[in-house]
Amino acid sequence: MKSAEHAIERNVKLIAGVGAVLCLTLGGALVIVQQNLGATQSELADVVVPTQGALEDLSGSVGALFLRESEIVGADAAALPALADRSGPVRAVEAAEAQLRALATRPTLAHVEGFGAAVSDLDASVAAFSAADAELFPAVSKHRALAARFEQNVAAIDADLRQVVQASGGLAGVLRLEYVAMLRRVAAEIGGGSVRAELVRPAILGDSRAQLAAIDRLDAAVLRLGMLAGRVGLAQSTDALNSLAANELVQNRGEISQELATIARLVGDDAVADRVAALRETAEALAARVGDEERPDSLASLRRQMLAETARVGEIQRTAAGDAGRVSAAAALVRDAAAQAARNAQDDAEATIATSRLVTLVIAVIGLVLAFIAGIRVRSSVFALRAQNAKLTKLSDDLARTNEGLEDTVRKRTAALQLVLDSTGDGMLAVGLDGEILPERSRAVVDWFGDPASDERLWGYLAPADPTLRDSLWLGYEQLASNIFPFEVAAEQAPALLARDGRTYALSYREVSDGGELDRVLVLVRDITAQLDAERAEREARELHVLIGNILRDREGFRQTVAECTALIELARRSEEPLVVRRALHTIKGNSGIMGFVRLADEVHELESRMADEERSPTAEELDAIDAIWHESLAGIEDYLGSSERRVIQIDEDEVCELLDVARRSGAYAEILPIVEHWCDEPVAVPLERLATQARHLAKRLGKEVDVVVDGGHVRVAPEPLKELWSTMVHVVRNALDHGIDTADERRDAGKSAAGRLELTARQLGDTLEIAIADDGRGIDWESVRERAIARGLPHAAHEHLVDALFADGLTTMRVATALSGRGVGLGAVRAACRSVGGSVTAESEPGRGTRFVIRVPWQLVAHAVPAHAA
Amino acid sequence: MRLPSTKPFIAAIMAAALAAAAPRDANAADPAPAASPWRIGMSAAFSGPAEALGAGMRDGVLAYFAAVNARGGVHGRPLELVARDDAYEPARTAPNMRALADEDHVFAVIGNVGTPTAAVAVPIADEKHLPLFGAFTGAGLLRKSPPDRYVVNFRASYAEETAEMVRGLVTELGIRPEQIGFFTQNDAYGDAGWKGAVAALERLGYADAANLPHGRYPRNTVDVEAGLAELLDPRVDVRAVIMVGAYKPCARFIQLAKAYDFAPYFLNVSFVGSDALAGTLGADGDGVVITQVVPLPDGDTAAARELQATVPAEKRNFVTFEGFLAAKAFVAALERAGADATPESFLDAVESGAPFDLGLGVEHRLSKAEHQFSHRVWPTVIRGGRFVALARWTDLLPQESAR
Repeated sequence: MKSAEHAIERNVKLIAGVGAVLCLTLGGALVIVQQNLGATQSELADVVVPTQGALEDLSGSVGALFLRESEIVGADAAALPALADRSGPVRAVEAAEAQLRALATRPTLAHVEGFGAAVSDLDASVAAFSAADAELFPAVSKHRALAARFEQNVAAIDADLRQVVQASGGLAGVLRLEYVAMLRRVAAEIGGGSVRAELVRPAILGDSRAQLAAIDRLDAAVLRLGMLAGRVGLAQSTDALNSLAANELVQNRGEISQELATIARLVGDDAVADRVAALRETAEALAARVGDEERPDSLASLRRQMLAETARVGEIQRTAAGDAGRVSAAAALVRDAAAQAARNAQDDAEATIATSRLVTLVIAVIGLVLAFIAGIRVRSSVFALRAQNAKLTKLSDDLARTNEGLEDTVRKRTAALQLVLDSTGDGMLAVGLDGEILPERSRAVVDWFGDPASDERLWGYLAPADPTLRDSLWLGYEQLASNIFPFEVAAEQAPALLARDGRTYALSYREVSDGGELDRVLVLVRDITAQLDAERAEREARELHVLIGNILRDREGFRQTVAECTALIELARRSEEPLVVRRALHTIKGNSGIMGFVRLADEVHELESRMADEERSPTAEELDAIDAIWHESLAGIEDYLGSSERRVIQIDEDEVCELLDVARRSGAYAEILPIVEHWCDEPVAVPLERLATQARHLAKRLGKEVDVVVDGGHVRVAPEPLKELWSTMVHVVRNALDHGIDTADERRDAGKSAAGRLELTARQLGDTLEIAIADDGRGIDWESVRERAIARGLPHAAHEHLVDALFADGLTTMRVATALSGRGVGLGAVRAACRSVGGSVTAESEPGRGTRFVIRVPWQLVAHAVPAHAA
Repeated sequence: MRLPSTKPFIAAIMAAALAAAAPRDANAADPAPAASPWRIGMSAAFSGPAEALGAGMRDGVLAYFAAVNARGGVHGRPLELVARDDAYEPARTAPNMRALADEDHVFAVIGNVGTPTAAVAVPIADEKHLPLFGAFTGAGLLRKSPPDRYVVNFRASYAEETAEMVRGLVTELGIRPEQIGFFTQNDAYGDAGWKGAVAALERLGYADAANLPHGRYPRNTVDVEAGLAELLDPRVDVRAVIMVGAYKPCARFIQLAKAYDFAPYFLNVSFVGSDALAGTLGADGDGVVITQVVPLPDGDTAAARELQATVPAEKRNFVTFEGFLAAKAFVAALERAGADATPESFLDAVESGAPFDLGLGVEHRLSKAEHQFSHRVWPTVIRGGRFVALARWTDLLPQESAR
């Protein structure tokens, strides 16, 4: 362990060291690279960029000068003076050149091949351009001045020319008029017939015609002079001007002076001579002004000078253009050189970057390798550490478990001892989760059940002889121990009673958990035999009490019912017909319940439940058991019941008064006898009242508040024929109370009085005795009856079918039978009883309003049944 | 690069300053009118050989304008005349017209003098939509068919004048067409008169009128000899000379012709400048015929009486009278156009067809097809240095017989 830790420490230190060295090295490399790049950058910024800027300035200034040249050449006289000043662009050029020369000394540029030469070249060409440019403005100015003078001369010459033309035209008119006048005179002579010679001679031999011809030629020459002047003004080259001057102008001048001389020579009139002389002077001066090249301001010489100046300006412009071209070529060279310098700097920077990348890569690779090796070594050390750690954990766990086991044992022992000490009276035994009987148990258990065999399980120990109980104990305990359900729930379901060796024990279960987990179960056993016996005795006493009460209330009815029950039990034991047996048992249950034979009623109810669950008839043993209970119950009350065969006739006070009235009035035997005979019959009110009593009992048991009303209508009938019928009618009453009368809550919701009402009535209706049992309860759910009828395959189409089905055996609309009714047997028994005496039973019901059962019996059957011994 | 950008800027400032200064000066010269005046322009000869014509027109127009202003102006706005001198040179007429339109912002131009000047004035008037009213010329180029929208004439045309001459000579005096010759100024004016006469002769059935003797002289000279020589040609027998020219050359022509014993009927159109001609000719003027486009200024027409009431006698002549009548016609049309008249609404008023009465004894109705107030020609003859109405052309005969 120590060695592993040391290895890790050593290797981590190694990694840290390598990392530090790497960082330092990389940082150093970065600083160097940045310095190099920065130097390059600043060199570019300080040298190359200003060089390019200076070149831009220079080009711009030269361009401005060049542009100014074309402006000068194109400017008119007014605009020209404004262009004289060229100092601005010239200063800009000089400044740019100075900057360039200064930059040329910088090493970055000086090292570039040809840079110095290019700058010198640029200097020279700029100087040449500047010199040419300086000459342009004076040349153009001079040309403009010449042009202005030329224009003035042209205008003056033009005016003079018009004057000359006009003068010559006027002169020609004068001469022509003279001539025409002369001809006119000749013509007049000719018209007169004789022509005088002195008139004709001058016309033919005189000078007039010659003068006219000369003046015509003069006109033409003057016009030509005007044309020539125009051509001189338009001459575009010295050659053309030379040609004009040497040929046309000289010739024209000769013509004009010759014609004028001719005219002057010929003219006689003084006035005309004056005009000719004036014309001659003007014309010759004009010709000289146009064509005499010896005069500096003649049109021709001015034009000549202008042409020369134009040529000079063109020459200057060409020179300047050539120089400007050289300037831009030189500037391009300089710019190339500067660009070369920039490229050099960039190449340096790229080389630096490449080198730095390589160095960085090498350092990084070395670092990675070292880190990898160190990492592997750290990893192996960590593995060794982890193995040691696992071993230590296991040891620690084992130690802890040992400790816990010890503590557990001590705790269990202590608890068991405590339990044993605490439970000396009751039986108590500890059971393992697998049912094993643990050593801890109380003495009482051993006293009751003996010592358990080794490996004895709880169920085998407690119920060695009863396999059913054993199985249920087993299952119950398994559920308890499985811990699936909460312990309390499972304990509730486990067997709680144990009958053994004529004693009864109560079982209960306690949970013994350990750390929240069920560890084992403590089973408590209590002997409750004596307690049960006491309870039973008390119950029997209470039952007897009720029975005696009932006997005292209606001894005759009670006796009849007892007899009937005895008969029914006999019937059930004898009969082979399952339906008969079921009906009999059911009636027994009802009657015994009403009379207060609680044990019998309970027993029959249980028997009925078993029969329904297992769908079978009762066994002989079961019926014997019922019989035994019945006789046992009867044995207790025989003393109170008295003789069973003695009959009592009840007579109301009204009836006695009636008899007394008859007797006092006449006392005739014939009148008294029928009354007394009739007394032998039983008032219908008695059995009805008996039913009402039963109904009130039932209502009380059911917890319903019911007003039971009886109306016998003073009808007396022979009791014997209807004996069976009365006993079955209890089913109808039971039905009415159990199913018919609704609960107080339901009644309130339905808007009825809280107390239900049951009416029991009887009356004689012609030859029929009509007994009605009516309630104001829920009524019959006919739809439910229909469903049942369908389920049982009975007719169900019409209402009569449903009424029939209601009285069919086994039909009930209740899902759960109660102790009082609901087996679907009672109404069938009623119908059977009615039919057996030739009567009928019907049911009328309106849902929610109540049900009315009506039993009709022929009157003949029940009238005047005088007892046999009285008859 | 900087110089060219500043130069036009400065130029623009200077131009703006000049433009701003010009109208201020013009306004400063105004005598502070109550309402903005009707500013009317004029370009005529106030110098040179045709000076008398320009001055006469101006006097007539100003006299009438003054009379109108004296009674409150037109619709409460006074009339103001801006006159510019072109010395009868077309080269100066064009800048005058443009200045009147663009600098003086005149409402219309009235009483321009001359045909060659009108040749440049009419296109400018059309271009500027500027009414050119009552020009002192009878040339056809102001009388196109249909008329120019912006040209409105007062007077009869040269063609109408020369046609009257031809009619009088041929039908009343019995002169044969081939005995008629022409002496004209060598320009549009001369051509106008000559063509009118030729057309009149052709209407009378003489097809060869264009080849009749025709002497010409250069404008603004008195070199009439060559022209006279044409008419003196022994091959022709010219008995009447229709003259279309200025008064100086015409006077010299008449005197020179008489010196050469050449004495046909001399007939001048109104443009010659009647009083100047009569004054220059003196005794040589007797019998010279001048057709007029206005009645005698000292006559007894209603218009003449109005003139006499307005213009002093020394200034009263045919040219003044024409200027006076032109101004009267202009004012009548302006009255009709309304207080806020524009040149266009003014022309609409002229063309409305409603009659104008200028006191000439006739009504003048103008329309889109008729832009001339008067077609009437009044022939006059100089007798003893004074103008006499030539009621009948045969009135000329005794004088000839006297010769």
